[in-house]
Amino acid sequence: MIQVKHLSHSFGRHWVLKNISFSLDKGDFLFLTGPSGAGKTTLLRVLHGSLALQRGRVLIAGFDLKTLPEKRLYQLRRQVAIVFQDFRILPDKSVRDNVALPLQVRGMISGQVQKRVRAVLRGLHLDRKAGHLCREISGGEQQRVAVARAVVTNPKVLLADEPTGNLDKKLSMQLMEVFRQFHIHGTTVVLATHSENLINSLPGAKILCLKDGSATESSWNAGEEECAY
Amino acid sequence: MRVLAGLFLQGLTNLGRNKWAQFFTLSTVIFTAFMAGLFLLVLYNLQLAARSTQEGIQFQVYWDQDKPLEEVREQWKEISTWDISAITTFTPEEALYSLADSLSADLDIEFLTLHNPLPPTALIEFSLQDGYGEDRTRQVRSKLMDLPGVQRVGFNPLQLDLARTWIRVSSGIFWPLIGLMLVITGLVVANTLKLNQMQRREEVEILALVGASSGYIQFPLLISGAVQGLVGGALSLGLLRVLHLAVEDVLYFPPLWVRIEFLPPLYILAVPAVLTLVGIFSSFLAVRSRLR
Repeated sequence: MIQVKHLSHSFGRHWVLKNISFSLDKGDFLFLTGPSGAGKTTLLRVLHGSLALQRGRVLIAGFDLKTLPEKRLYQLRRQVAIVFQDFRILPDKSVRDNVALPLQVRGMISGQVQKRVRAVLRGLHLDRKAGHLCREISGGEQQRVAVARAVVTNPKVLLADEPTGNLDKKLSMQLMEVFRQFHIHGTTVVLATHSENLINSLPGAKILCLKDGSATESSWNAGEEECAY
Repeated sequence: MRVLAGLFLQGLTNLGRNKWAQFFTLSTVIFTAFMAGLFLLVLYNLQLAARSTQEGIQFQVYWDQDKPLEEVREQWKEISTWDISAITTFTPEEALYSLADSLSADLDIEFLTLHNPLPPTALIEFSLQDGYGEDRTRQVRSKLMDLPGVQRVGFNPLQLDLARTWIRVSSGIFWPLIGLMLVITGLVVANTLKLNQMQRREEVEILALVGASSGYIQFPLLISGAVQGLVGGALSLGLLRVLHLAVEDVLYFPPLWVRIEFLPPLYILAVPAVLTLVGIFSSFLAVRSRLR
């Protein structure tokens, strides 16, 4: 589902990712971890096509990012959803409207959209907030709206950047359960996190530790000794 | 089709969001277009006034005195069908009275009416505007000379030089000024509309992130930009027309007798059309970099 080979990325002269290679099959779960500034967000943004591929090769959900023209990026994003650390939701739209957005851009008819949105909001305990404007709800709820928007389309690949950063332990575990459910049903999940609890909550998951933009084979499943969370 | 209609409606609904921002944007577009239209109106009327006095050439045509007047009248009819601006004809009697008028009101010319020495004459005016120049002058002159009974065709070479100079000057000033005005108006309007659309950058980025195609994102924005340009252009023309109605006769008194003309239909159509295109283009530019 995801194949990354010799991926490098720089901002100016500073190389944020250096020669990263890994591969994930359908339904794999990968924790992306490492200290702040290690390149986790950059890696997720490259995988999502938000940053242009500079060096190396990335195959994701059947798309080759090296050859994928910019005008076809939207096709990739219909298969690969992302949850950003800063939520990226529309504050002046309701929770329901924000979650419905990915379905509406696909041209889904209104009745189906509402049905699907209701189900997802219920799963994330947001059904009571459906009509609220996003700027009126708490940070934790906004975080869950961002997750709901990402999962509402049943993506093939789900990328999440610190999705539990604003949540307490209980809500973090509830959210982790949502990701786990998608993983069980065949979605490939890549989740960037510092949370040891999250990583430990899914023993079968793979772990990729980034340090100064580099990842080595020894980082896989290496745990706390290898990675400073 | 359903999606397209939805996006079209969304483009129109977007105009109802941030009402004050939309109001100020539209006001800027209207007043910029109004100023440009006013400038165009002034320039157009200056051009008209100058053209009416400067760009014409006048031939004086003299017929043989013994040429039957009926045949001369036939030729006048024929000449009036040529591509000329005006023809003023004088029978020998009319020429005599016109001459007498111009000499002195008290002059008694009754004694000349029996043996009138003046021939039938005509003053023929035509324009050099369409780029004919010297060829056209030569062509009309030889055509007149070829008419049976025409004795002489006279014209003032200085007038030809003046006309040629005016055409050169006006084409060297009129169109560059219009071009400059278009560029300035385009830049101001485009920048205003672009700034207005940029307030939606965040929404555009999010739409791109959730898998909206660039067409899905841009179409409503282009519609909003087009409507703002079109409405701004139409309202500015309305304001200009109101102003025109108020001042159209302000110079209509002796010796000027200048009636201020409104813009011709082509210009009237061009103002909203150009602004609509500017609106579309600026909206396209406003969010293009945010689509990735």
